[in-house]
Amino acid sequence: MKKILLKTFLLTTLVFPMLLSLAIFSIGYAKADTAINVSVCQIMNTPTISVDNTGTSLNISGNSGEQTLVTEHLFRDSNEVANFNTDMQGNYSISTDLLIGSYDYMIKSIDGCNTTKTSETLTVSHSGGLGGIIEVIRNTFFSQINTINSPINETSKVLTNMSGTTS
Amino acid sequence: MKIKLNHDIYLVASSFLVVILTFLFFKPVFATVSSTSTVITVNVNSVLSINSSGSVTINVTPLPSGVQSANSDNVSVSTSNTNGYTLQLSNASSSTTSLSDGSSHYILATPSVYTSPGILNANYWGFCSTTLAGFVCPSGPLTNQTISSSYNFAKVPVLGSPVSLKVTNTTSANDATTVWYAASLDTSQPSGNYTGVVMYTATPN
Repeated sequence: MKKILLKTFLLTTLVFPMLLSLAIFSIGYAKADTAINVSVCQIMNTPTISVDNTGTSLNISGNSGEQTLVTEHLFRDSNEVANFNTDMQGNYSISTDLLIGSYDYMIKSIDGCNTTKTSETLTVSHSGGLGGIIEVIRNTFFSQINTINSPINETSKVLTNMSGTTS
Repeated sequence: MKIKLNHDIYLVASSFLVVILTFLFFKPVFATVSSTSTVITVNVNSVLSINSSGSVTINVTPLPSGVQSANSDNVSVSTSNTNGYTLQLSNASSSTTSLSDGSSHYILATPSVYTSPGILNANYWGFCSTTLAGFVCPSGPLTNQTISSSYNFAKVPVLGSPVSLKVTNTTSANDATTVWYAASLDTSQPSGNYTGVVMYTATPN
């Protein structure tokens, strides 16, 4: 009988307060945080694009107007080959390999607000060896084709692809 | 005869002694007829959990006259507490209500308080919740819209002085509350990414 009384006493004096403290803990408050992100952008201009070459590399330059929070992406045949930022005046210039063949180049500017502006698309056609010499002769008859500087046995021409998207 | 009488007395006395000893030494035999009981108590503790989107993005491309952009956060609370819960909102900071770009530029909280929300003027940010009286919130996200007087916003109070968004009185499973956040800016606001953190607290009633 004493043991029963002792156990009863222990249960009521020790275990119950323990259960009570667990209950208080389990019904405590809960928290959740949310970050508020505001991106402030400027109105963007459509980036311009022009090309030149050194015989072995292709220089692409232009101006994207707005410079803050804007990243320029260079695409060749719809594949991004580089991304960079303009200077404080919105000017950019980048060099890439001058490849033999015909490729479409385009600049896409994306700002921190996910606003996108796309330049016109320039098609650069570059021939080497005998083909380059033939192109030099052909270009004398097709003045609408803009021939850019090349070594004597090579030629490059730039066509403005009017079907390119400009936004 | 006298001798026999004494003998009988001894016999009776010894019988009593045997009975008493039997009671003393064989008590467990009689314990089977007693009973005891155990109370089985199952404590079902209340459970409370809360979730929010974690991040709300608002993109603004200002105009000189000012534009307004807004986006929402969804908060869900689950509780087994039969008395429900109270949902509160505050800044995570106890010292500022502004959004910062990490340098020296800020978007200030609107001066309107939640007891008297108002139009969100240029170069302020604020919140809107239709669970509170006096608020009219956008029905969907806004991007670079003309600053509207149709919507009412208020500042998110600092940590320690939260606003109660909702009080329930029963259990709930993923009880949703939508809170809108907006910024109205003109071109005087420097470009950049501005950030602040708000905190939701659910407390059992």
